[in-house]
Amino acid sequence: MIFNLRRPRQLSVCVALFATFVGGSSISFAGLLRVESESLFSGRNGADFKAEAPMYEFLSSSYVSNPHDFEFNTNFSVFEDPAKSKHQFDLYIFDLAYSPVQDVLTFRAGRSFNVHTSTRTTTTDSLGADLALFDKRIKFGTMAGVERKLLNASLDSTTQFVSNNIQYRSSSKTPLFLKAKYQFRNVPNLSNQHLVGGSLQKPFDVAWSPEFLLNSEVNAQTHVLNIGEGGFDLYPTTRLSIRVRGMTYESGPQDDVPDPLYSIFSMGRLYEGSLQLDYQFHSAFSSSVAFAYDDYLLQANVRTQGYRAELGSRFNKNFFAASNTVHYFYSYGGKAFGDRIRLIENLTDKLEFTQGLDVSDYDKVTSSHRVALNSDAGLGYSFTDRLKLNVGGELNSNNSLRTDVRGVAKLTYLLWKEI
Amino acid sequence: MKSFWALVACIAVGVLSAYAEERVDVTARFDHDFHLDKVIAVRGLQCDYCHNFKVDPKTKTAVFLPGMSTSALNRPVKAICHECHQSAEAKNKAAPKECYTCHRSQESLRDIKPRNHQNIGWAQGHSTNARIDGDSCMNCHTTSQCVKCHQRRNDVEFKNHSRNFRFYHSVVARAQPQKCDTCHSKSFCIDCHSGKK
Repeated sequence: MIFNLRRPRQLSVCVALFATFVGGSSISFAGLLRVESESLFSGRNGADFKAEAPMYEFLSSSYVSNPHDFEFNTNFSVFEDPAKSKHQFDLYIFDLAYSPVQDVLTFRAGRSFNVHTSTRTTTTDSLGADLALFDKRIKFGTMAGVERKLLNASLDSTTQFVSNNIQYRSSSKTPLFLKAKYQFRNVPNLSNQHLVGGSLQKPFDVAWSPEFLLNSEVNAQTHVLNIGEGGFDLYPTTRLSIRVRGMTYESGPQDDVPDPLYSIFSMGRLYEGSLQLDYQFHSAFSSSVAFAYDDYLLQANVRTQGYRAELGSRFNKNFFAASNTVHYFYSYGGKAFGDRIRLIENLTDKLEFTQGLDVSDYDKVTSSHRVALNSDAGLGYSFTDRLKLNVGGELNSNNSLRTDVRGVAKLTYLLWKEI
Repeated sequence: MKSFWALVACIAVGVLSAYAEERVDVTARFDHDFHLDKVIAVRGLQCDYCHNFKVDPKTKTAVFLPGMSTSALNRPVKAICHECHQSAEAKNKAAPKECYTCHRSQESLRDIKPRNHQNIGWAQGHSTNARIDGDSCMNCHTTSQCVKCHQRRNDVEFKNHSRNFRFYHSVVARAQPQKCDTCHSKSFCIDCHSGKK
C-alpha cells in the first residue's frame, strides 16, 4: 500500500491536502477546472469460489488558472471489499505548479507521474523548476525527489534521483525539437546510476508530411544503450497514415531490483520493427492494421523471435458506435488469436445499450489448446450531462471458471468548466 | 474512514460546481475589449481587419462592406484567431500559443485532436511521442489522464488488457517482453505465480 491511512502522519497530511484543495478552490480564480469521478462496483465469485463485492472509487481533478500561472492536479483511488474486509487507498498524483514569472519561471512540487521530465515513466515525489527563455524556444528543467513503485507493498527501498533536462524548439512552422536529459539515481543496495538521454523530432512541410522521431537513453557508467527508438510518420493523403518504428532495448537494473521483469524473458538486447497503417474510408469508418517483429537474446547464443499482427476497425455515426480488433501473437511461448467486439447504441439521448464480446483462442507450450470467452451487456443512463450510470452483467468462460457470472455497475461524474 | 474521504470529495465537487460556469464554444473565451485595447489600438488596426465593416472616422458610424450580408467576419474564425495565436512571427510573440487558451471545453479540444491521434493504434503507439516531447501533450492533457491507464489497477473494468489476457499473457510476454516493463515489475509476476494473489 503506497499510502496507509492508519498512520497518523500520513492521515494528517492527507487531511491537510484535501483542506487545501477544497479551501483553495473556493477562491475565485479564473481558470479551467476538470473533475472526473468513476465509481465501480462488482458482485461475483472469486477464484476461491467465495463471494466478492469489490468497490473502486477513482477521483481525479485538475485546475489550470487563466493566465496560466497556477496549476493543480490530484488523482487517487479507494478500494473496498466488504465481503473480504479489504481496503486500500492509493494517491497517484498531488502536485502543484506556480509561475511567479508567467511563461518564464515555474516551480513544481508534489507527487506526480512523469514521463518527459525524468528518464522513465514513473511516479515521483519531487520538487522541480523550469526556466523558459527566448519566447520558450529554450527550456531548462530540473527536479529532485524519490521514485515510488506503486506495485510494491514495501516503501523501504526507494530510489532518490536528481534529473535535469534542456529543450530547444525552433520558431519554424514545422519546428525542430531537441531534448537532452541527465538523471543521477541513488539506488538502495545497488551502485549509483547515471542515465543520459537525447531526443529529436522534426516534421516537414513537403509531400506526405513526414515527421521523424528519435529517442535514446544510455547508462553512462556501463555504456549500455537502455533504449534506442526511432521512426517516421507519413501522411500520403488526408485519409491514409503510415507509422514506421524501430527500437532496440536492453533493460538495466531498476530501483532496487537487479533483474527487472524483462530479464525473466531475455538475457540481452532486443530489436523491434513495427509498421502501422490507418485508413479513413469515411468520416464514420476507419480501419488500421499493425505488424511488429521482435528479435531478442533468449539465452547465451540463442535468439528467439516474436510476432504481432492486429487489425482494428471503428465505426461511429449518429446513434451507433462499434469497434472490432482482431489480434494474433506468436512466440516460443505459443500462439494466441483473438477478436474483441464492442457495440454502443444510443436508444434515446439519455439511454444507451452496450455490448461486448471477446474470444481468445490460445495454444501455449505449457498447456493444450484452449478458448477463453468474455462477454458483457449493459445499459447506460445519463441523468445529466455530467452524471452517468452504467449497469450490466458479465459472462465468462475460461480455464479457471467454466461459468462465471458477475454484475457490474459504474457511476461516472465529469465536470469540465470555467470557474 | 473511507466513506469520510468519499464525502470530502463529494463536497469539494459540489463547492466547485457552484462556482463553475458553462462554457462550450471556443469564441466564448474571446475578450473583445481586451483585444481592442491591447492589439487593435496598439497596432493601429481598424474594425475591417476582422469584420466586414469599418467605422467612418467622421460620422463614427459603421460602414458595411461587401460580404456583410453573409458574415460579420471577413474570414473564418479559426483563421482570424490563429493568425496571431499560431504565428511564429516576432510581432505576435505576446499572443499565447497554447491551444487551451481558447479550446477550454472537451468538445472544442476534440475538434483539434492532432492527426496522429486519429490512428486507432494511438493508445499503443503514443509512448515514443510522449517520451520525446511530453510537454506538447500537456497542451490538452493532464497527467491524471496518463494515470488512468498507467497506474490505476482494478479488475472490474480493464483499460489496457482484456479479461482474457491473463490466460495467454505468457505468449504475448514472450513476443514483446519489453512492453511489460512499462507498467510492471518482477514482483507483479511473483505475486501471482507464487500463489500470493
